[in-house]
Amino acid sequence: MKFVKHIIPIVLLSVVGQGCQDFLEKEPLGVETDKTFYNDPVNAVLSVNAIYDAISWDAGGILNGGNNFEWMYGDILSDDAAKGSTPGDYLELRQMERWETLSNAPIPQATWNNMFAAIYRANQVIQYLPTSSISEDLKNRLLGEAYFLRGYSYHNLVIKFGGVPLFEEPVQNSAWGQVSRASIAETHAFIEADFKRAIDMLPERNGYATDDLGRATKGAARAFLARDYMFEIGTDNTNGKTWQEVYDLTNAIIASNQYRLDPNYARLFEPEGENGPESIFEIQFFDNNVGWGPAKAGTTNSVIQGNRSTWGWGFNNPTQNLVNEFEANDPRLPVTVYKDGDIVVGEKQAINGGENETGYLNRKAFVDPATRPSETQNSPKNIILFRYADVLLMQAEAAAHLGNAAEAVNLVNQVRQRARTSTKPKGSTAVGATDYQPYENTAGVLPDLSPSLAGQELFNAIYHERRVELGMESRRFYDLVRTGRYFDALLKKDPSGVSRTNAERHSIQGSENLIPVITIPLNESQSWGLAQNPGY
Amino acid sequence: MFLLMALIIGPLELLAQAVAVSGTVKDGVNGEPLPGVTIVVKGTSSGTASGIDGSFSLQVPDANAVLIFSFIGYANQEVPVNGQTTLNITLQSDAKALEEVVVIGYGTIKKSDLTGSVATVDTEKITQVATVDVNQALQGKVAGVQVTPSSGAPGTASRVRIRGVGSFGTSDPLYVVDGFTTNNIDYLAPTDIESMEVLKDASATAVYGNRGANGVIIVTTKKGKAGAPVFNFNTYAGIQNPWNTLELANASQYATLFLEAYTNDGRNVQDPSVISPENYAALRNAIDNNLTGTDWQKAVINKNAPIQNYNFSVNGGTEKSRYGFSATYFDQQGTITNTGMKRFLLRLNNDYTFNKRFSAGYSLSYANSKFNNYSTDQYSGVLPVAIVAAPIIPVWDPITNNYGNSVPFSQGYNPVRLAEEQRTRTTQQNRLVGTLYGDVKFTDAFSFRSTFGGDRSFNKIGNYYPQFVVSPAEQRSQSSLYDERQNGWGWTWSNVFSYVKEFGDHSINAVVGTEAVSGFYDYVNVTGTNILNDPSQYYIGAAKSTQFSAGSNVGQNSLLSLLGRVNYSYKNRYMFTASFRADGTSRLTKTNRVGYFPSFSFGWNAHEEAFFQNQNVLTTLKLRAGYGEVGNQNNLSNTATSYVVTPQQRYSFNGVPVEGRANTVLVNRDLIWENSKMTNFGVDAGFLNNQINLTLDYFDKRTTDLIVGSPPAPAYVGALPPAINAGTMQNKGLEAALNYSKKEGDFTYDLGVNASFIRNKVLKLAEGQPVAGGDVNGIGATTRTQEGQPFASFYGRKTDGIFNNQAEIDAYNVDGELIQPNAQPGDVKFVDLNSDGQIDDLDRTILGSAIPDFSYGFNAFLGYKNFDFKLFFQGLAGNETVNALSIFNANPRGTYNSYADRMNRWTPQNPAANEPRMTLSDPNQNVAFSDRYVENGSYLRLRNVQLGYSLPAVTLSRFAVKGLRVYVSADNLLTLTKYRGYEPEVGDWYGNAFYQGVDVATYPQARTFIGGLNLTF
Repeated sequence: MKFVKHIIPIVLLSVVGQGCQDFLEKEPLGVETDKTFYNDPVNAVLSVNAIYDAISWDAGGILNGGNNFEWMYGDILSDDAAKGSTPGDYLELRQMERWETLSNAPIPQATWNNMFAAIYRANQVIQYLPTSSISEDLKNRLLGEAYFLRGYSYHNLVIKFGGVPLFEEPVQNSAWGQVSRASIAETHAFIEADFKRAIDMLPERNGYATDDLGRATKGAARAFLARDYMFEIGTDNTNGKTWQEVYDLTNAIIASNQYRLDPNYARLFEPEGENGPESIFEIQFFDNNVGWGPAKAGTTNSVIQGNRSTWGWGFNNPTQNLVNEFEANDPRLPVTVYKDGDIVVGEKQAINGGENETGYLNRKAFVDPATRPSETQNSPKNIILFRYADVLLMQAEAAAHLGNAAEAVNLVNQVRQRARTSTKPKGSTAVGATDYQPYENTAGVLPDLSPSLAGQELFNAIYHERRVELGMESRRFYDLVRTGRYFDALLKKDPSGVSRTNAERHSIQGSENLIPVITIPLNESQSWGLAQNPGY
Repeated sequence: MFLLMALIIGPLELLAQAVAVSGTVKDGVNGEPLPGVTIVVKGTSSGTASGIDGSFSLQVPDANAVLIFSFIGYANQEVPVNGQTTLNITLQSDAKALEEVVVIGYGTIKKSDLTGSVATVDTEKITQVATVDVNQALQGKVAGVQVTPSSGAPGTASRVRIRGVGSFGTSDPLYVVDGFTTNNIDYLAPTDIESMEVLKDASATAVYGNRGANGVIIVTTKKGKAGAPVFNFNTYAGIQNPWNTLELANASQYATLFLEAYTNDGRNVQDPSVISPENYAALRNAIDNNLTGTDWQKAVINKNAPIQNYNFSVNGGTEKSRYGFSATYFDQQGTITNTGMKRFLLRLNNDYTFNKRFSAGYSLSYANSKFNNYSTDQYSGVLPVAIVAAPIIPVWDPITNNYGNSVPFSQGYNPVRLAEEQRTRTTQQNRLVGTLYGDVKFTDAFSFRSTFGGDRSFNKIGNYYPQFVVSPAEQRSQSSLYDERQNGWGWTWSNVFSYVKEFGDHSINAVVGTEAVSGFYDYVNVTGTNILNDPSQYYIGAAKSTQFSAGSNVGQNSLLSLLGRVNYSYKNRYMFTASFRADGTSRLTKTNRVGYFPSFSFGWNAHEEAFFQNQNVLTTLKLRAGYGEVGNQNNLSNTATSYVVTPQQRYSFNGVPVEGRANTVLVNRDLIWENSKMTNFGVDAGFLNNQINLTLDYFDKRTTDLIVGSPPAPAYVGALPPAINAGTMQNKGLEAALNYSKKEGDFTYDLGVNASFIRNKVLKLAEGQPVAGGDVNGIGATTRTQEGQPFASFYGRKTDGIFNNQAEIDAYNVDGELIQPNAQPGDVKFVDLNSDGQIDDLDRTILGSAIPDFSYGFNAFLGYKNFDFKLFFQGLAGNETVNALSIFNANPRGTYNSYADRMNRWTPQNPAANEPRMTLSDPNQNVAFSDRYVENGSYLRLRNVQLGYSLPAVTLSRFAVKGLRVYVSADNLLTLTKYRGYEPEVGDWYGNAFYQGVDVATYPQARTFIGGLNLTF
């Protein structure tokens, strides 16, 4: 029985004793698992990159995020665009367009999910980075980016959904179902605070290394804050924001000397125009051949708006009403839309019946055949969210409100002047062409506004300029809402009045105007107690 | 391999001066011949087995040799030859040996002493159906075990549920193969298995602790027995066809419905801005010429797909050294083009008895499988696309010299192109499983066994995606190759002391031991682009583009346990079993790591009582009762309790991609495993000398702390919710198995029926919140898990036929306000369940469940002389199935192809119809998820019918052959079901339990005809 004497202790030792706990300690491998993650400067940068990633998700975010694009709101809800593509395809988008969206609709859900994912990520950085041991300069900049991106996300939410729950730190499990929606005014105040911190902490555009081109800047923070103020002033101005504040912000952007109008409007939406002198903030894309999920660095935005007969799915069709808004020979029109038979970057376009609603497609989303991705949903084409021309027109609007008509006219004329000296769209003169041909005769095109323009006429001129300068850039819906013109425009788009009635049913009365709002995702209201928007 | 064989069979001795001996072996009681009796020449490894008529003949080395006759259930008999050439032997049954022994966790027990609910399936039944999947072979054989093939695609695993769905995640049972625990037994061929014991109740499985909650299947493989080598060769070959195809609209019908959807919405189909002139012409042409068009189902079916299986084995050895070797090759083409599997299995085992005290042995298995990756995706799976593709499109368009472009019509891809691409998407698996044991007998009663098992796997997934252009919407502008390599290593080491002893009326069978389990896996994948479409170039190095993407994952876990069990029996009448296990797992935090799992059970062999002896109707009566607590850790991920920073949250700056990292899943450090408490009552009864056997079991299983992997969470949290212990679920039921076997002259009967009734109910969920699941694109969630209802019940709107005319729409109002203001005649009438005057998501209700009320199997074996006939039925009743592809095939838009019976749709000319009208815009939302999708999923299937003939031993002995049976067999010859989809056997789509019974064109089972032979020599 000697053998027994030995084997029993051996076996028992393998159970009890020190070896036991060690054997059961199996750390996750290949991933970092501690909040000390943020103490490394490289990690700190990566954690901020991940916030940018979340705001770029258009298909396949981490929280069940399907297709969602800014044009589904900014263009489709307005009189600028119709759903497009074949009649039966993407009925959820048609429901959006007609304000018949169901409370479980996927598009608003995806936007909601992605923005809150960005907010969670920003909050992680804001919570853990301040105590990190990385250099103060880098820390400041990264925190500035996080505040900017949180402000951006909340701004994006408030203009679509109204007031939303506000989180200054990652949501605790115990808070689930215990939070409620802030008012619209509280949400704007939160956004203001974030952007103001971002303005303080972020460098100007020239303060970044070249490799960081595309990161949030002081200028971008000012621009978005001004945009938020303007929406607030025109919808629910409980916080008493003033046009002077808008003016000061836009003025600071102009005075910073970081930006100027690109001499050629036709270049703005081509690969060579990306992150150009006029760019204030763009969502950056890169073709990395991944079609889905957070690892995807390209976008679906190009293919979904592309031409079905060449490369695309044919959605977001510019309306005749938008085309009619352009003055005669405005060089911006062929940069904004294309139609059957047009040559676009050297490629002749056929637009087939049954695959298009209006006869037009969005030229600004067209992707140069040379840069078309092999994985169709991974286009490298950036989405411009803010450019200097917008700032000039915002400044003009503020100046007009502040009684400085001459300055306003001057600012609008800067924009018109650049437009009239722009070339034809890239590669539009012959099949295979990729050059920018100048217009032969520009006499009388887009004359300067009269310096004596004032009152409502001046505002109309500014609104008109915004619509054509920023056509198909997803600004129209918000401009209409904040200036109280939305419901009339909607009635013109859908003379049956159904869309308008629906939109009114889904509106909140703000201090200034009726604010149409999209549905809070069904689950958030039904299961987690968030107040639903009217009529959903 | 021959070398290997030579090594194993090496010890065979050449016979010299042989003497021929022959004779017969008979039963000592009834005098009937005994086939299969092992006859060994004492002290050698040479020997034979008796034939079907009990006869034997063999050569003995000399006239003084001694023969040992042995047979299960009979006492061994040693017979000196003493110069005789004819020996007629009668074997006496051994009361002790007759006691069937049942394998239970970490040991064996006499069947009469068993107190838990354990069912045994023998090799005969496992090899009946033509499959290499052992789990499928279990289907319908055991009461309370439901096996559902997740697809008819070769290479896909079956889903096994013991006593219902026990978890919201994985409810797979634990497998124990000769003492080695594993989750997957695909490395075993059905022919390698001696028997399978299904441990159903917690009193039997509690000794497996936190892995025992979903039942345990103990597999005993065939091993070498002392005696002359026995060679077996089994083969079968045949053809397969899908048992079912759907009746779909043809080209003319398709075009009619397509155009009608436009005209019903007031659109002018001849307006070129509505339908392009070419498309209109194609539709018109189909109607005017009454074209049939393309039958897409036919186009993707692989008719008469071959199936073949070869298995060779040899077993034998001496009392001291025994060996077994088997090789299996299985090759099956699927019934859909370019699906199929090849599997090659090798198995080798050796057992050594060194002396009275020490014995040891090992077994080694190697499995190699290769199969095509079949996609079940709604939009890119071959079958889902084939049934929606427009029949007016040709498979191949001679004008464009390209695949027919289906996109303008059905918005789906060309199914034949998709089927063609499956050719270049394959998975190859290599698995090496070995176990090694050493056994020490300290005394006759007290012994120790150490078993170590290792499991190494190397897999490769290679998916090549060729470049092609069918249309702008159906194209791939650059070819790519996805190459994934997986590597796994797991081991289990158990050390168990056993004590088995009888003292007079008392008998004790006890084990105590420890077990350590370790698991590790990692994988790396790379995608390369622009690779020539040539199999010799399907390697990452052949990529011509500089664009690569790569990923990897790695995981590890461990388990350390202390276990024990004691079974005490008094006078063979009163039995008591208690077991205990303490498990520590690496998957939980230190504070929650260790769990304790006890069980108790009692048995009473009533027939042993004196008052039972005076009758001969009820031969056996045993009553059992048991209670146990078990756990399930399958749904705990390796990182469940860690704050993990997820990579690949990518963005780009200055035109260059950058890496991003974020925590994407919240942490729940309080997580624990799922706990089940199960009570079981059972009766085993044998009538008329045990010709009729009945087993009844009633159980009640309550599982608490159910892990919800993605629990409902507000999206405003901004990250994925952590797994939480959120639910309580109950499965209770009744199982019955009835067997009748009799031998009468030339006839042998063996009939078996088994049935089980299970009621599943979710008792509690976190904060009462229901969990939505089973998302199908186009209709959203189809299932809901809510308190008081079966798990993952179907949840949607209720309908009440269709509105046949405007008057019915007008009549459906509340105070004059129409309930369905958007409806037109021919639209679906939804029931306003909450009576709020409108139809919306609040009008949804429970519409059924995929969990059957009743599942059953029926086996019959009839033998007449040398003929044998087998019949096996299996079925489910009382379950519903969601025919999810009805969003396409019963859609109102006409853009997808429709069921042929959609031609009976509502039209002004056909106002009495029950099929809704065509409409492009569908303002009434006819397509919303409702009871129109939910169908009766019950079925009865003749799973197998088989006729065999065994050649007479007399004939065979002339060719030195011990047995030869030839047979013909058919699988799935007959299926009775009202279900309209391809296949009533619907598993969990995407392997997700919340999708149970949601059918997205499940790959139909094959109707298989085979011929085969079993040869023993």
